[in-house]
Amino acid sequence: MESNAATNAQIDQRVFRRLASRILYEERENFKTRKLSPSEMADKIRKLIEFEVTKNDD
Amino acid sequence: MMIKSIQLSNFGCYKGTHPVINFSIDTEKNVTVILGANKSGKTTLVQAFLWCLYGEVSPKNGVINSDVKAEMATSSSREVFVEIVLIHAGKEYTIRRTQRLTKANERVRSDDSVLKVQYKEASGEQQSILPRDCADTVNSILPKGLSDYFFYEGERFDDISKKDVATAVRGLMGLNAISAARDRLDPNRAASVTSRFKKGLVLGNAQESNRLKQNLAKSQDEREKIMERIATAKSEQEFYLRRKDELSEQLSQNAFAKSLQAKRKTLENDVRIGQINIEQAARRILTDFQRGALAFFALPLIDRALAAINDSKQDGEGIPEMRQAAIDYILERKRCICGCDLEENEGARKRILAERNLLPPEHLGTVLHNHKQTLLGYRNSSTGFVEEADSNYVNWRRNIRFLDEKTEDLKKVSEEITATGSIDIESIETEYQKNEAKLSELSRLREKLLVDKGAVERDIENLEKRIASLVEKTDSNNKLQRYIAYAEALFNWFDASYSQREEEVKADLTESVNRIFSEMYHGRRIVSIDDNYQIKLFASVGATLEEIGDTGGLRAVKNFAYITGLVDIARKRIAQGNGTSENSEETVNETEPYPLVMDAPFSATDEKHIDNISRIVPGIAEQVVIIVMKKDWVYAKPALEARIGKRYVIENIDNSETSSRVREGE
Repeated sequence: MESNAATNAQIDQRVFRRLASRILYEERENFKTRKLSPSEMADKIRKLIEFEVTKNDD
Repeated sequence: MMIKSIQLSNFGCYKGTHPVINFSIDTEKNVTVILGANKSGKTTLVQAFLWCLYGEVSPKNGVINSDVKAEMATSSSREVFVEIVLIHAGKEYTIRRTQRLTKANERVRSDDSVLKVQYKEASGEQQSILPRDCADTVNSILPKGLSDYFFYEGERFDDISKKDVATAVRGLMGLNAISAARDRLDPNRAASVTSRFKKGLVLGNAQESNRLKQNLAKSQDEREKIMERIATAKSEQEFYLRRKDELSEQLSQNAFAKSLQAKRKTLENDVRIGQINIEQAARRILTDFQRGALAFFALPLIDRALAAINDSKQDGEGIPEMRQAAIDYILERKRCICGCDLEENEGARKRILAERNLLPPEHLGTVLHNHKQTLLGYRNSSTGFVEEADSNYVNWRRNIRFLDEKTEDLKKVSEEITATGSIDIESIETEYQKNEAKLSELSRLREKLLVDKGAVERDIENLEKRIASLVEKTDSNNKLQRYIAYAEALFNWFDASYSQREEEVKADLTESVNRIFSEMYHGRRIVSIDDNYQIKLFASVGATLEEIGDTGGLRAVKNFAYITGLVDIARKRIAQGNGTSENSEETVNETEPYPLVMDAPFSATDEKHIDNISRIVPGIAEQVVIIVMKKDWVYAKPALEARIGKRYVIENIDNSETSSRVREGE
């Protein structure tokens, strides 16, 4: 996973890759099970980003 | 996806609740063969799959067994169901469609069928999918658009290239998950994760920031609506383009219309080129006008200004870096830097004073000099303006004439086609013209929508810049800006990844279908897959490749090559890590098997190709269910025998065509 944006000083490549991978996994799972509505999915992805970025900062 | 079993109750010719039919899921012996005579219920079995999964009913008189329906007493009810158990992505799904029928006043009324989907968690716990999501779940396991390929009815199947498969292929290849992730993070969408983060930023100037935020949300909504309209227009365009091909083919089949049709194609191409040339010429006129018009129309003023500057004799360039205060100092001490006494030498004193006038802060001379240079620049830029404008206009007019001529010729050819006399041709031609008008209308609409989209995106960009300038420097804002940076980077990555992945899918599919086709077919043909995942056949004619038509056996082989090619790449699709562990960032390969259920697959194929297809298909598809007549089975059996895991026979009960059963054996 290479990203131009990820070369930005604010982005940690490792966190970025983990996030991309997890978001894709969550989207795939939801395609199969349809457990979450679009709004719930957006909430889940938002929390994922907050969690991974904060964890890395700490 | 692998099909474990199917059970039928009162469906079509299967009266009553039948025992479960288990399919072979053995990796080596992956073929289940079901033999049946004509009218025994072979096709009904494939229709049971399609009805259960998608609610499609092929027999127009409904799905219930006709004996059961006839025997229903007044006020009684009966139930039809089909239940399929399948394994997909490591989960076991039970999919059941039920329909209740009630008899009242001598009439049988059918309720809408009800789809129920359940799956087992890894722990073994059974979970139910919400009723509103059942159809989507089935569609994500096996897209409805591809059902004709995976549940192949040899006698009913039409040409693959006439079907709309692009959306379905994207779904099957997992591209939908990438596009969902991209849309979820799209900063241009009001409800996206990125926009939600942005909404959380605390801004200064509350009144102004609220206004900007409201305008931003409005522009984002507007953009989404435009995007939806663009997508609709695109799919309509694709529909009319397909229809155009069909109508064009119908016209070409008529000997009278054939040469006219070829002439029309050339003219249509000319018209298209003419339109492009006109657009380019118009753009050129605008660009050149914008560049030179101001200077050209200001020429009289420029000349008068230049004359005034020249008359003033003040347009000299001052000594660089020198200021009037330095000259004043020299004049006051009355001695030049060269040693000349300025009190005695009046000429030198006057020259120094003239230089002084060219220097800052008064620096009138320098200002005039610079202005003169600017005016001369304007003057130069207007050189050739009239000639260029004239030539651009002549070019534009020439293209307009070309387009008018070709459009007129096109109209004449169309009239000639209509005048060929055949009523059939006339009606096809009329539809062709309506189709063309619709295509032009859609093309104009898409252009307009793209312009609107560009405008609203510029608004969004400007509003975001203004909002960004109001963001206060707080810890909470800093944190949010970090999240936004990640969200935007992720969006860019998913966006680029989607395009790249789609290219890869197309290349893989082309390679796979070509390889399989060359193994199945004895002749030399090249298969190409276009942007809409449509298959086209080419043959070498001299040094060039030409697209060729297909019929009967060749079409059947083409269909098989496409289906098996699709199965081949579907199971090889690359997935990202499962995201559940620390190693989740690594890319891993995930394979998904797909079945092929084929009813009378060899009806249009000769012995040689039956043998070829029978050898190749079980090696590619992980599971094959073949429902076949005994006469065709004779040719397929030698190639398939070693791979058979389950055998069934369909029999009519008491020679009745309304009551069949499936039993194990051959």
